[in-house]
Formats: sequence, C-alpha cells, structure tokens
Amino acid sequence: MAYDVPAHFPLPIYERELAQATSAKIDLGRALFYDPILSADSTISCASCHSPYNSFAHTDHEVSHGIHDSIGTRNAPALFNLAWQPLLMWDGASNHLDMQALAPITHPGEMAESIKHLMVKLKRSTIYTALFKKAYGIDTITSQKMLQALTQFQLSLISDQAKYDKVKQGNDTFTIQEQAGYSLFQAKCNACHTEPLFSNYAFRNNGLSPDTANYDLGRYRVTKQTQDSFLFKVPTLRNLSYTYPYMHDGRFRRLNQVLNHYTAIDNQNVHISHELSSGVKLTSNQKADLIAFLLTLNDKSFILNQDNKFPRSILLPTKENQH
Amino acid sequence: MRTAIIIVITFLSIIQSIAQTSQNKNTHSLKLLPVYKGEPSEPDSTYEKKYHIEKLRFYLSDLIILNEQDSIVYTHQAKNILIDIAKPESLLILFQDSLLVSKKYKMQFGIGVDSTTHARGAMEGDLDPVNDMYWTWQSGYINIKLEGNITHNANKEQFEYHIGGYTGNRNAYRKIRLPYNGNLFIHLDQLLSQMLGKQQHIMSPGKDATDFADIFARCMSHTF
Ligand code: HEC
Ligand code: HEC
Repeated sequence: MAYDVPAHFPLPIYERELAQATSAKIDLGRALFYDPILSADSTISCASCHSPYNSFAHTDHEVSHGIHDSIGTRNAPALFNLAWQPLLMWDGASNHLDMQALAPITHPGEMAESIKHLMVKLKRSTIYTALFKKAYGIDTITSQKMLQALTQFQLSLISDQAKYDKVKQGNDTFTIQEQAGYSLFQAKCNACHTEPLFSNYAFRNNGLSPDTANYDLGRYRVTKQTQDSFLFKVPTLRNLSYTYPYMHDGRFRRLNQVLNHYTAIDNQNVHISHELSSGVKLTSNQKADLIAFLLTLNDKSFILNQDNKFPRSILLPTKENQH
Repeated sequence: MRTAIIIVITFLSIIQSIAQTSQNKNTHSLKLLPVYKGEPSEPDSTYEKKYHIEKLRFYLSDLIILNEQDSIVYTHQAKNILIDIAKPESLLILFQDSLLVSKKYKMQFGIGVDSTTHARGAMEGDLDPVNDMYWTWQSGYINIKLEGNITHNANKEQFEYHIGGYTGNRNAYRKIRLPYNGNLFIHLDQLLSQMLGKQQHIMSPGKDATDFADIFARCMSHTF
C-alpha cells in the first residue's frame, strides 16, 4: 500500500499515517466521505462540498452551502496532497487532518451532527460494522477510527501526474510559451506558491481588499495577533481549471481576473505581505504565458481516477447485486 | 548476654519489618476533594444559596510521584484522566503499582492536555471527542470546563468557562507540584471568588484563558 513519493516532492508530514495505510482503511474512509449519514438529516456528505469532479473543491458557489441550504462564509478548498500540509483551513484553525473532520460534522450550518449521535448511527449500521472490522479489526466502532479512516482516504488523494510533474520527471517538455510562463512564475509567484506543491503553506496577504460580506480576518481569528489580520493560507495552484472560483471568498471565477488582481495591487495596502510589496508587472503577453504555465498544473488523471469517486459497491451493495 | 542481644535485635527487626509492611506496602491513590470553604462539595450543589456549579470537568495529566531527590518513583499509566465532579468514580485515581512512600514525597501533574498530545490526531478513551472536551471550530482540547449560575434575587446569571489553548503564550496547560499525601483539594470558593464578577464567559484561548488556568492551578492544594 506504501505510496512512492515522487522524487521532486519533499517528504510528507503524514509519513507515519501513509505508512499505516491499507486499502481497507481507505475504502472505509471513502465510504464515510461520500455518505450523508455524517449529517444530522442525512442530506449532506463531505462530497457535497468537496466534489471529485472539482478536484474536491466546490464550484457552484462562491462560499459553501450546507444543511438546510445554509450558506457558509468561505470557499471550500480543493482536497489533495494534504499529506504535506502542516495546518488546515484558510486560517490554519485545524492542526491535524483527523480533527479537521469534527468541524464540518458538528457545524450547525454544515452537517449539524453530534459526534456522539453519529457514533450511535454508525454502530447501528451493518455495512459500517463490517467495514470497521475489516479495516481495524475492531468490533466496537470508535470516533478515533472513524476520524483516522477519513484521514486515510483524504491522504490517498495525491495529485502528482500533471504535465509539470512529467516535465520534472523528464517525460515531457514545456512548450516555449509554457517555459516563458514558468520563468515568470518563478520570479513572481514561487516565493509563496512554492514548487512542487505550489504553496509554502504559510499565512500571507496577497493584496485582496477585505471581503465586504464577512470582513473575514483570516489567521487573526485563530491567533488573535493583530499582525495576522487578513492573512490567509497560501493555496496550491495545482488543478486550478477544476477548482474555481478562487480565493477564500471565491471572488474570482477566472484566472485572468486573478492575474489582473495581482497586476493592480495597491502597494499602499498595509496588510500586503513583503513578497508582493513592490507589486507585479505583467504585459498581456506575459499574462497569457503565465496562464499557459498554470494550466500545466492540471492533473486530469487525478480528476478521472475512479478510486476516488463515490464507492457504489461499498455503500450500495444491494443495488449492485441486483444488476 | 549474647543470646539476649540477639533476641533483642531479632525482635527489633521483626517489629521494624512489620511496621514497614503496614506503612509502605500499600497501593496508593490520589483522591480529588472538591471543597467549598473547607466543606466537602457534593455534585450539583448550591453554595451560600447563590452559586450553583452545574459542571466541572478537567484533564489531570502526566501524574508522577517524586522522591526527596526529585527522582521519579512512580508514573501513572493513564496519561490524561478526565475528572468530572459529577462522577465520583473519576475522583479517585488508583495507582497501578504499589510503592514505598515517605512523607517527603511529592506529586506532579498537569492540568489540561499538553501541546505534544494536541498534535497527535484522533485519540480514544478520555481524550475521545465524544466526551465533549474538544473544540470543533478550531483544533484543541478544552482543558477545563466550568459552568454554572449565580442567583441574584430571582434572576439567574450564567457563568461559563471553557479553558484551553496549546500554542505559545496561549498555552493553558499548567504543571503543578505539591507534597504527596494522597489528597488533592480543589478549593471551589477560591476559584469562584476570583473569577465571578470579573470575567464570566471565557470560551476561547487567549489571555483570559491562561489567567483562569493560573488561578485554577492555585486553587489546588494537598491540605485544607
Ligand atoms: C457545507 C460544506 C462543507 C462540507 C459538508 C464539508 N466541508 Fe470541508 N471545507 C468546507 C469549507 C468552506 C472549508 C474551508 C473552511 C475554512 O477555511 O474555514 C473546508 C475545508 C476542509 C479541509 C481543509 C483543506 C485545506 O486545504 O485547508 C478539509 C481537509 C476538509 N474540508 C474536509 C472535509 C471533510 C472530511 C468533510 C466531511 C466530514 C467536509 N470537509 C465537509 C466546506 C465543507
Ligand atoms: C505574498 C505571497 C503570494 C504571492 C507572491 C502570490 N500569491 Fe497567489 N495567493 C496568495 C494567497 C495568500 C492567496 C489566497 C488569498 C485569499 O484567498 O485571501 C493566493 C491565491 C491565489 C490564487 C487562487 C487560488 C485558489 O485556489 O483560490 C491564484 C490562482 C494565485 N494566488 C496565483 C498567483 C500567481 C499567478 C502569482 C504570481 C503572479 C501569485 N499568486 C503570487 C499569496 C501569494
């Protein structure tokens, strides 16, 4: 089951968890991820907001929609290469993938379920009793194993087959335009969106004006340090074609809007991080080159991977048998 | 004469060994004793017809016993113990091995969950999030939960403290070292008198929470 880290990737933070991965644990986590049993009225699953077709982001809405159509305040991030992320959420509120799942499950506007009640529901289910037994050899389902299984599935979501990766592995070459875009990227973006994961996972301000709907203070919400106001976790730039809209509040739908934002940065903005303090200058040709490079970070095989999709044979075994 | 000395010596050593066994070969324990102005406190009681404690739960962690030289003579196996004054069985911590104890021994423990444990991911037993001692909107164990109300004439005023935080200067884990005599008193009157009226709702990590943690630690003692 061991995952081979590509030579151009650093060592994952969740090395221990990856070493403990088995297909039974990942199957269990995948079932939980797609199962609305995790929400109070069985209408919302993790995949309601994190769709495999969108690289596990949510594209219909700028900010996420949860139970009873309640509207969240942030854009649901894409989920992949999580094994390399030190802190989760736009503001880093979550320190471990296991514990992250508690937030959506119990959030009154997301899945609105209590962990206690969820455990009762899972224990009643013959499907889950069997899946937990197979994955962990336990007869009594625990929240620890449920959370660890969700982690196992999410850690298995690895996107490392983009054209960029093939070029790095010597199996493909950039076009002249992509190469030009790559050079621009390295000069202007790589300080924060650091290769090969395309994030340094730090908290930064990229010059966006505070969102007017929520006036989201970002990292400050967690640390209560004024210097952290309006800082957000640098998102990865992989799979951008599938993950729009962009930014923590989903304010941009297209990549050229993003680039226009960067070239129009107001350097009088006191919150802006030092990497961008002298602004970004790009001609329209350079913008096209940069976008051509960003598109080489799309990993279609990740989006198409059937192993990541709704586990019909696990969750709907009876229907499967009727076919 | 010689035999007499031998008899006396044997006799003394027998007495000594009897004394030793009765004094030392005990299974020891730590008894938590919530008290209000020296009176033992019952779960769900009202003090001075005014203060009502609905809930007091906290983690007691990393319990060890140290000898005169500060060497560890006992390490309690369960790393994090959830104490709940509503559950009398949680107020008696039985040591898993018997040990020799002298009056000069000390106990050391933490209140809360240390930052290393915080970063370990999902846990079971007393650290299971089903125990309602974990924040969900942000990672972190709630080290101490104290909830209740104060009656003013006919009105009831709530107080609610959820104390936690594990990073940097927001770390609310507190280490306590006290002489060991088997008892740990929690002086609820001192706690309430220092908190109520000033700050009655603390629900997230920060300065208020670390101040509470300091006060809570000072309200613990091995004597009345
Ligand atoms: C109602 C929509 C919704 C549901 C349901 C939902 N999420 Fe999310 N998810 C979000 C949003 C919005 C964020 C960003 C929140 C923030 O930054 O404060 C997020 C963030 C995350 C992150 C952090 C990713 C990162 O890069 O920091 C992970 C992991 C995650 N969700 C997993 C899950 C899992 C597992 C479930 C099911 C148990 C789930 N989500 C259910 C909307 C949702
Ligand atoms: C100072 C660090 C920094 C630099 C330099 C930087 N960015 Fe960003 N970028 C961020 C942060 C932080 C965000 C998230 C901002 C938010 O949502 O509030 C972001 C968001 C984005 C997004 C949206 C991704 C998503 O999934 O929502 C794109 C696309 C992007 N940046 C592209 C670029 C490009 C292209 C460059 C170079 C021209 C660049 N960035 C330079 C910090 C930076």
